[in-house]
Amino acid sequence: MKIFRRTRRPRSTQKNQSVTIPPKNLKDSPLSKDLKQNLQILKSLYTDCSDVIFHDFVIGEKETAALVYIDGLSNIEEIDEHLLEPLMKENADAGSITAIKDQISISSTKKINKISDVINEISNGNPVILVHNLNTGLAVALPHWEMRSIEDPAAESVVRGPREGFVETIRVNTSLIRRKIKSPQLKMKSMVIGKYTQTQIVITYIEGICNQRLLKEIENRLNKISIDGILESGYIEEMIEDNPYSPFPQVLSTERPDVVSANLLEGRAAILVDGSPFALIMPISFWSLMQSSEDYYQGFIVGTTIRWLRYFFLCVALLAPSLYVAILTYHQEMLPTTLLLTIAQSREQIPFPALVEALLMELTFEALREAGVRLPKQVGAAVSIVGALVIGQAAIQAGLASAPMVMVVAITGIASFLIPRYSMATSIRLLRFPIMFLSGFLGLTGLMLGVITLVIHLCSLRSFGVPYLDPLGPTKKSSLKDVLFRAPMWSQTTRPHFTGDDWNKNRQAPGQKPHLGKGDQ
Amino acid sequence: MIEKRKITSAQMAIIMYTSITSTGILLLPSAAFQYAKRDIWLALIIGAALGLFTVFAACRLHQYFPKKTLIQYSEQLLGRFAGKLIGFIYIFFVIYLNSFILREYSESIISNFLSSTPLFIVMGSMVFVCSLGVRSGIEVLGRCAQIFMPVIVLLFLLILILLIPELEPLNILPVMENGIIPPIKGSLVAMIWFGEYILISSLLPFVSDPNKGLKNGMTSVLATLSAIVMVSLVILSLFGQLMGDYLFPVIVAARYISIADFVEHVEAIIMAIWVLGAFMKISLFYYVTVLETAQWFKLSDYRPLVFPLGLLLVIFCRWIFPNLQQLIESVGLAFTAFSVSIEIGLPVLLLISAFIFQKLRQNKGNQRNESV
Repeated sequence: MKIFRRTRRPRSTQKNQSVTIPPKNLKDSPLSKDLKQNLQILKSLYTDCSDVIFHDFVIGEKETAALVYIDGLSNIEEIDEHLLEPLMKENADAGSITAIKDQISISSTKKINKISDVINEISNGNPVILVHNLNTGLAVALPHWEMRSIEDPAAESVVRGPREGFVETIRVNTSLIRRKIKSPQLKMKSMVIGKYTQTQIVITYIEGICNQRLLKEIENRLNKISIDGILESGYIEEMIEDNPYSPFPQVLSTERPDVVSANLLEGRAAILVDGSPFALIMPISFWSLMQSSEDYYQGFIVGTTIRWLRYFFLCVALLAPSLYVAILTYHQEMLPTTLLLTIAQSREQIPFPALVEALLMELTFEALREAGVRLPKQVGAAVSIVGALVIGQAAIQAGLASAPMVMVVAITGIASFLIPRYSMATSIRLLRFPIMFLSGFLGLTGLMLGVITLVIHLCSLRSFGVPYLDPLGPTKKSSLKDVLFRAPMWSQTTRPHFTGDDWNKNRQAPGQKPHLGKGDQ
Repeated sequence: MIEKRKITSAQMAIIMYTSITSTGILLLPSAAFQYAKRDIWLALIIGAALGLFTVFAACRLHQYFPKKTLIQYSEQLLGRFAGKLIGFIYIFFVIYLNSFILREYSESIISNFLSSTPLFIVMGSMVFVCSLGVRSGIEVLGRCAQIFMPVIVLLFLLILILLIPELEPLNILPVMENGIIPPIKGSLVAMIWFGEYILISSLLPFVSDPNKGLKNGMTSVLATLSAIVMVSLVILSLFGQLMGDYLFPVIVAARYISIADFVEHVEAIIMAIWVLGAFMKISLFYYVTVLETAQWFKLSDYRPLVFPLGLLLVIFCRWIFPNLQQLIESVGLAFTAFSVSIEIGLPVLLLISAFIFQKLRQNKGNQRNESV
């Protein structure tokens, strides 16, 4: 019996699938001249879909026709005013699709002649008119749905800079980029991914700056994706990474159109995904994750200083607890005597070794932070109060943690907020723990070994073929000006170089340093 | 090709510089001081001549046999049996030297920082990290070197600058108190380090611009020389005759630093440099061992050999040097003799035979031309 069951099961599942998924031939069949037949097919496909509206009407009191649309995706008022009204006049002509097109006052229309096209169009909010005796339908662009307004992106706020962020609608997002880069060389290639979601994806780049090989690689990787649905650009990110086992993000996700535009101008490409306010930028390097758009909107001296502050606090976020553990466990002599005495005094009551203490406090901190992100806003205040008690005076008074440890945890927490990209900050948070263990076991040597392992990993990592630590390792002198410093605008005459020999080198004319020349006076 | 990725000749020079300098500044001053006394800087300069010669020999041999490593062309030059023998000696020499470095690293870490950690743990953790680097290939090692070099150089300059108030430059004088013989004796010790440049013969086939190899290699030797000479002079003017009493004088020197009662005990910085440098050096030697062993056995991939040879490396440390005293003693005699004779002998032998080989080939070509 068992054998029978085994052989039977797959068959039955296949049958089930064939019931739920409409047969392919039905979907792919062309529109016929018989309106009733077309509507029958569509209605059978959209059984139990209460949101799909089939509206029968008569054109010019002669020919029967039907309007198909999805309620909530199309603008009903405009349908009534600009579509139904002119067509239902007495003398309206229903002889051909072109004739119909000429009678309605809508700018964007499209002729379609397949059932699958009808499905596509109405799913995108374009109502479709089907007329008896015509085997072509007319899709009319009247999409209209509720969407979030354009707001300041919360995760990437700036003091100076544009305050607009992407929204969930891809057309709005492309328009935000197009408004910044008006050249026709800004290209937006469209494709659809997702068997059920049919999500629209746009690859955007600037022709002549972006490397063609990079584009081909991106398209190849996207074409390989075969998935039920794309609900967020994170799905795509995970499917196209170079090294799927790396904790580091290999694609930059951003909500800011100005960040996307700046990257496009540097020769990178971006992927926009419908339904997600996060655009993906590639290729990136470690350093692009450490840069904020505001670096470029402030003066270069401030920009450079802040950049170095960030590099320093990156090290703090990664290493501060490990350093504390290593020094307290193995290298007490490194501290000045008075400081050592103070720390020793405060640790007198603590029952744990430094490593356990550090792990305890760091874990608590991470838990509080995660809770703070997920909890509803009404409860958020409670978490911060409890958090202040847990990592704070109460913990010290209870004898569970020493005051210096609390300080280290606090500084580490603050430091990780200095990393401008959330995805990067998360991986740094994660990597802190193994290094803490290493320094608990081997002191500073262990810490160094942890750092070396990290550097080895970063050196072998690539983002779309571009070395992750470029331009530091391998060293490229010309690109260092945007990593070690934020070079002044007038000296950034060349674009960064990623792959291939053919790259559009010059960004702007050299010698634009502002000065009062003798001739100007 | 067994290694698919490439490095630039500048990366090669930086790999050699970081690996040789970082162990050189820690160990070479006290080792060379035993013989050269105050003329240690002279000994170093004489020793560097071997480095220059080795780079020259390696580049010239690479010109004769492009895209081939020492193992491959020694077989072509000297025939199958002698070539394999030379190759075996070379590989053995590299492992031997590497186990020496690994042992030095572990002993210095244990004696200065982690006094109760087992030796095996210190060695094992380092070899494991190195094996990750070696598995990633020469390209990753080159990039690591490029990232670590500025760190090492900057931290080291910082130490030297902080030491300036403590210095007594007159300790360097008199020059050549006992004639030229002591510096020459000391230079033999220095030659162990500078002779290590023979390893570039295994890296040159993977260099994308080999025509710049000679220039960058020479620059690397001179940079190494200047770094070690600078450190030796600083230590000498700090300690004078006491210098020979310390096994790791740089670490002791770092303990002298005390500024405003706050910047104290910066030997942790030395340790950071030392771990980075030791990583570079052990990885480089480890990589060459693995690569050359794979070529010796004519394997198509070197990756499967990484972990077994790493284990062998750790065991070698125990076999060759049962304890620290024997290790120190061997630097004076057997180790120096063995290393220097191979570092001089191997390139000389190969260069001469390559020269003859080339002449014979030309003669054959000429005879053929004449007979036609």
